[in-house]
Amino acid sequence: MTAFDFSRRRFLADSGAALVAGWAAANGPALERALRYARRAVAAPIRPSFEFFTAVQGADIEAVTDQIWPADDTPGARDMGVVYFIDHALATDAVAGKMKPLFSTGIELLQARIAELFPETPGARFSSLPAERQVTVLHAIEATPFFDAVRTATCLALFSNPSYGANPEGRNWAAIGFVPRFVWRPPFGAYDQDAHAGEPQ
Amino acid sequence: MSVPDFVIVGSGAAGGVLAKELAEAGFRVVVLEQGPYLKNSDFEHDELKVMFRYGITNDPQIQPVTYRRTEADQAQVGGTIQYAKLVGGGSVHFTANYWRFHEIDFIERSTLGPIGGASLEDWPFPYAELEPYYTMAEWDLGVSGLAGANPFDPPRSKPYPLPPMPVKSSGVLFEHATRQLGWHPFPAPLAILSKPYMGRNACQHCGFCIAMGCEHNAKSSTLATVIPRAEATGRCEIRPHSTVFRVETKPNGRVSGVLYYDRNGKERRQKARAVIVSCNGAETPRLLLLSESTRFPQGLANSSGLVGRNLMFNGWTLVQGEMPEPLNEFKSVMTTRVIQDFYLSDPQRGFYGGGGLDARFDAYPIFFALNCVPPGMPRWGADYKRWVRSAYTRTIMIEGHSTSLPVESNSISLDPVVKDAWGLPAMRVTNTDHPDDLKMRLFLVDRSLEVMNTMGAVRPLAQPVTIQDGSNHLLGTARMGDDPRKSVVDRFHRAHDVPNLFICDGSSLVTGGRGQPTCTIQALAYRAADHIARFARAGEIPSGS
Repeated sequence: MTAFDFSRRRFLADSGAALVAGWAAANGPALERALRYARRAVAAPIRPSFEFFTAVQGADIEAVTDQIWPADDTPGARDMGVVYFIDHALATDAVAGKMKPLFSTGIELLQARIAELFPETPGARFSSLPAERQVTVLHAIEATPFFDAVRTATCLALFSNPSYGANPEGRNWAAIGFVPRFVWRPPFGAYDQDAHAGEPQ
Repeated sequence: MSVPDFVIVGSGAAGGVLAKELAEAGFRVVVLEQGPYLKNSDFEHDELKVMFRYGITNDPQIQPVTYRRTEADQAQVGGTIQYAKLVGGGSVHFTANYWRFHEIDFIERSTLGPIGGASLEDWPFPYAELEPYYTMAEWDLGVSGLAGANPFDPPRSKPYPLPPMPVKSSGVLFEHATRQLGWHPFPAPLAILSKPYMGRNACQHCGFCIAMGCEHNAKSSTLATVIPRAEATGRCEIRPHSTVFRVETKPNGRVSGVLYYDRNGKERRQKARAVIVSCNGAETPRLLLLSESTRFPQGLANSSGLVGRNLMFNGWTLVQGEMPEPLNEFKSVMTTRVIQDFYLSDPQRGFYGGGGLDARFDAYPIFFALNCVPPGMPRWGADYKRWVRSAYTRTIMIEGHSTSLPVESNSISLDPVVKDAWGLPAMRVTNTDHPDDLKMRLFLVDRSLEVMNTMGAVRPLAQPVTIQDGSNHLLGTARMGDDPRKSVVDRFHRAHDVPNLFICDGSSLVTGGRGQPTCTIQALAYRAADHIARFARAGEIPSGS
């Protein structure tokens, strides 16, 4: 289904089911404000305090987002301020705010898994773990609605239009090869280079 | 204005055509549309808003849809009926695939005989009767394609008005692979302009057809084509933000107009000499059922009990894979090559069904990152990121479009519990796809995988074939027919029960074809307008006002 011919039944089925309780139901303008907030937050000389998360919780969520989309030669979720999008949306939008318990219990779940997997470091926070241990912990929770909510928020933020804020100058689009020029002429790709003789120009 | 000749409920693929045809024929028309009246300059390439925020579609938060598999189940909120909610309706946001139905689609019941568990019927007229209107739709709206390229195409009286769109890399790969397999690829017929036409721009290949409006006016929506011409007559008013909730009936059994909520939620009345309902195959039956009265206690035009029944969604399938080199499929129209080698129902397969395949790519970046990760590939982390970065430009998809059998228990009805934002009963979907429809989809998945293998694509991912809880192809819920006990409207779209009520949209279809119903819905609208105008001139539509 393409909102999926919007066929777009595929969009309906997949984006709808995964998000129905959370981000998809959230108030649109509030999400947009939260994305713009994320851009301001990462551009500020000193990053602002969190509004819903505690400093420790916010650091944990930020570390989760950065494990989902880590920096390579292109920016990661931390660089793009994805955690500020999540925090501001939870704090300012009543519908997104219904996910507050999902995030609070999700953070507790993270800590519980850390205690099970690494009993030798009692009380260690997710954000302070070495990267390979963070990956181990996330593998243990990757099938949970909490992880899905963080992953969904991360993709929404990173790949939404640059005007929203968490994809400045379309840098995340550039990373995947999407060029937002919106006016093209054939040939389009590697396999149609010689296929355009006699077509309308 | 004084009481208009017609009020048309809905401005989409059918409503827009009817408005223009009837206004040009000299009648006064008011069109009521739930959604806003946007201009092409309002359309943005905004995936977050359009795909995830119901930017131009029905919003289930104010218009909830419930779903149940069978009539014995309790429906739950969450059915995925989707339609575009703006002037121009679904013709604004559709992918613009513009397949004619074939001759067989009109006579399948008499050709194949009955099929268990289905209420398959012949149409009340053959393909040949609709052919001139297919041609009219293609030339009046603007369709690109290549006549004669598809050996399975039904007869046509004229070629397409515009040459096919430039082939994409997916089309080249698909064409080579399907020829190798002995099949017959042809350029996709699309309601998108490959060249300037009737004062509109040619496509600029922006790549944002699916689910989005076209900022260049190159997609041949009714918003871009016939609606401006309807208004230019001076006899047609398009009234947006008008949510019709009742067709009013007089004691003599005629309809006198409609009640609607305006943009401020205020209840208003629009009288008319005759009413045309063109709200789509889901909202049309809902409106008829909401319009029950002492005269029509089962709902308007529903003496057959078939309003809302025989709901058909069309089948669809999707397989994706990756090629070694970039295709850059984010450019240009969604699809440029199609095969219809499996269109006919073949008894050798052991089940009823038929369909076509197209090569395409229609995942915008957010959707791709969220939902297109193949099995065995991490869904997060450094390897995931590496895959998304490599695969976005190299992914090709093959989509299948197929039959859905009419089944009487598959339906749109009024939910007895859940209400919409106006306090009206919500739309309830009851659907279990006929087993043959699921088998046909699995068959098309297998053919798509064959094409992927022949192309040399790696990491093929097939979307699972499951029972559908909704769609945006909404068909069959007020079917046409000669027998008032077995159909809702007659062969001219007039309600059997009400002499000045006409119903014309996806609900009119007796069978669903093989996907891509918009072309047929619009051909029906041109044909309906011809007959309705003829009846009106002859004084054969008694006035309700």
